[in-house]
Amino acid sequence: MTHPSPLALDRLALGAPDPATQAHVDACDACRAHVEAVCAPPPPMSGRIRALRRPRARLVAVAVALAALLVLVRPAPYVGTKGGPTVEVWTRRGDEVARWDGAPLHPGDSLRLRVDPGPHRRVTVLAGADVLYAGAVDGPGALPTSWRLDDAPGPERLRVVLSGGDQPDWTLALDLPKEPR
Amino acid sequence: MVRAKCRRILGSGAEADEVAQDTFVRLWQEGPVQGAPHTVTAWIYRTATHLAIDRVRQRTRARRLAPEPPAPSPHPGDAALALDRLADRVPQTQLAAVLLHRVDGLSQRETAEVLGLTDRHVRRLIAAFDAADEP
Repeated sequence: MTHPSPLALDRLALGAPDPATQAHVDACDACRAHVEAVCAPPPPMSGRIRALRRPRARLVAVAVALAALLVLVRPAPYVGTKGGPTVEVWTRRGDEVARWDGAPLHPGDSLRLRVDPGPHRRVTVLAGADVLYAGAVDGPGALPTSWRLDDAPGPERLRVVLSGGDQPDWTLALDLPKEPR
Repeated sequence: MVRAKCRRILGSGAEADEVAQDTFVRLWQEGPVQGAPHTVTAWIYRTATHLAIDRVRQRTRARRLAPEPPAPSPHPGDAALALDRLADRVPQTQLAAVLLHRVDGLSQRETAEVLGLTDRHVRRLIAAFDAADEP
């Protein structure tokens, strides 16, 4: 049996119609497994999550020192499924450090993410097309970077992507409301 | 999909994951994120292939300069070992065509589409590679 190429299977998985490839996939366990692996959705998540659609280039006004945020004052609930990857948002306003409770943020607030990568080994944080952070992770912990919100109107939108390991990539879109100072 | 593509070329070690992440980052920075599946997949295959070649070239050059060779990937595949051997002596486009055709299993037509070349050009590149690789 001649199998379609990985390119043809990937295209089918991403929604490009191809009757010949589809007919093969319907009859071939190996190729169906390939397509299903590409199509596998990320784990269901809760929290303030929405799709990220428009690029934002102005999130990062200043990358600030993170020593204060290293002192996470209390354990926090995760955003995600039990046993899976989790992402927590921590904020600092003045001297007050707290886990984000969903309230609107203010310009000048600092953000930091604490990530439990689950089975993944790399993390990428994006704001639109801007890569705010990319690096390896070997276990739960705060990312070694924080960001200060600027005074641009509108919510700040981040996407956290966990990759590497043996699981499909895991993506979380965070929509952080912001109100004027 | 991106990781699987990189692992076909580089094996299952961290190097493949790093190239996959680089590809993903570039996709978000400058790639056709909102494009049609044909466009996105061609871009991913092309970019990941070139990034993998670049990564291996950097590593082999560093190996030549370093007093001690770096540790090899813990899970090098046959393709990864072959790429180590070929990276410095085969031109970039020719090597990309060979990897897409021989390792990824793309047809010559698909390879041509991914690389933005003609079918005939791809045939010539692969024939030249085979001729040069013969003892």
